[in-house]
Amino acid sequence: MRNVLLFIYRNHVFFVFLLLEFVCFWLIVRNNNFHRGSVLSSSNRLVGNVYELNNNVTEYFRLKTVNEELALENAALRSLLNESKYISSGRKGEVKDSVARQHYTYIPAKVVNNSTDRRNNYLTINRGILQGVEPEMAVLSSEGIVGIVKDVSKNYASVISVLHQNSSISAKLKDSGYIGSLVWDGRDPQVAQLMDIPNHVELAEGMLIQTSGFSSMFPAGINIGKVKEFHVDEGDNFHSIDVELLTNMSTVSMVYVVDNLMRMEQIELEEQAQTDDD
Amino acid sequence: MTTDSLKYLWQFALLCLLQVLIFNHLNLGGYVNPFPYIYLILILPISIGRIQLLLVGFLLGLTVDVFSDTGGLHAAATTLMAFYRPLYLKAQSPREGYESAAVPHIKTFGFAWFLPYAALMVIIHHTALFYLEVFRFSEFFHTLLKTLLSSTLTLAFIFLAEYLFVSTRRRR
Repeated sequence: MRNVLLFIYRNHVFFVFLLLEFVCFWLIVRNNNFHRGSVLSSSNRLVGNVYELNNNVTEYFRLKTVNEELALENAALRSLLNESKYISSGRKGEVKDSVARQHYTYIPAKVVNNSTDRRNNYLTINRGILQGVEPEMAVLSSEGIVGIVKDVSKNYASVISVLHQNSSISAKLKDSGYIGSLVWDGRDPQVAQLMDIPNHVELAEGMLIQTSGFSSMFPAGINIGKVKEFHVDEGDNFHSIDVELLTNMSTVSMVYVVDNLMRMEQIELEEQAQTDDD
Repeated sequence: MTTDSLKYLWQFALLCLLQVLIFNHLNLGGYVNPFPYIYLILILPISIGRIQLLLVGFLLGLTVDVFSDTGGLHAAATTLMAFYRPLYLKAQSPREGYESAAVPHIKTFGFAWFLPYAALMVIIHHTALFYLEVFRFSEFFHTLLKTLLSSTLTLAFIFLAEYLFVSTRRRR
């Protein structure tokens, strides 16, 4: 026993080193778990404030492009108003609205921190629990998709970017309806990869990719990107497709958090089906 | 002693802020991201205790981690670097030992001594960081290229800081 203690005493630097590395690995592994809220992340209040201060300055340099984006989006929304529609049906008494229930609501938010240069990228947005943001909600920009909420604090939330090795988003080809999953290989922040599309499917450059709506997070039919390049590796049954993302991930500043009002219902039903299987 | 501690505390905060607000967003071609914040570990006094050095390294990495949402990634790399620094310094020590208040700078030890020291420390840190980040070997060469290019740029920033901000008059 005395020898063991002596051994530990002689090598105490090494043991402190091991202990610290152990803590680091524990933090890394814990950070990778999708659900757990963590204190040591950028949704932390102090960190959020530092980034917000920084953002208040840098925002001025982007005001022009942000204004243009907002104007474009306003125009798009205006075109959805009833006033801007022409009812072509001659029949009367078609009131469809009493049937349509609200399925998704949107919480506008501002990006206060963002990265695209790492293998696993995150964003921080200035909306949190108090504004109704919860983990696992989808985040969109006016052009396309951005990511999925990971942790929330009172007023901030951190978002797993599409540019993350654990990000996998159910997507479909708009024209043919084939379903695949969208992942990122860690190279170009503007280009993601669409997997699992069988090699008999006809493809063309510029084909539109949308969300499938199969997950409980993203509404169906949100534009993701366009087919940029595709080929079939020898002996492979699936296409390798590069997708040019519509959202510019490095400049995105205004986003919308999607609240799926029927999410719990869908998740419970799907879990029920799984437990019945087992 | 107190003024020295204050000086290092100030450098700690400054390097962390520069890293998370500027260098983290410097992304050249998706390959090169420099991490000059580790300069702090290079320029701590040689006489600093090994445990103290480990703790400073750990805290430095953890601070950058908190701002970049990376769990303990940077902390793991900086702790490793802080562990190896005394081993390297001991192997390189002059026959009569270091001066008691010696601080590793180009001005005090010369370019030929400082380059391999800084390069080795930066490469240890960057290799640990990038391979832990990817955590698989399927992207081995892509990660290797990233490590080498980023190390070069980090070193460039460290030398820039050495020549711009370390004055000859403050012989210590």
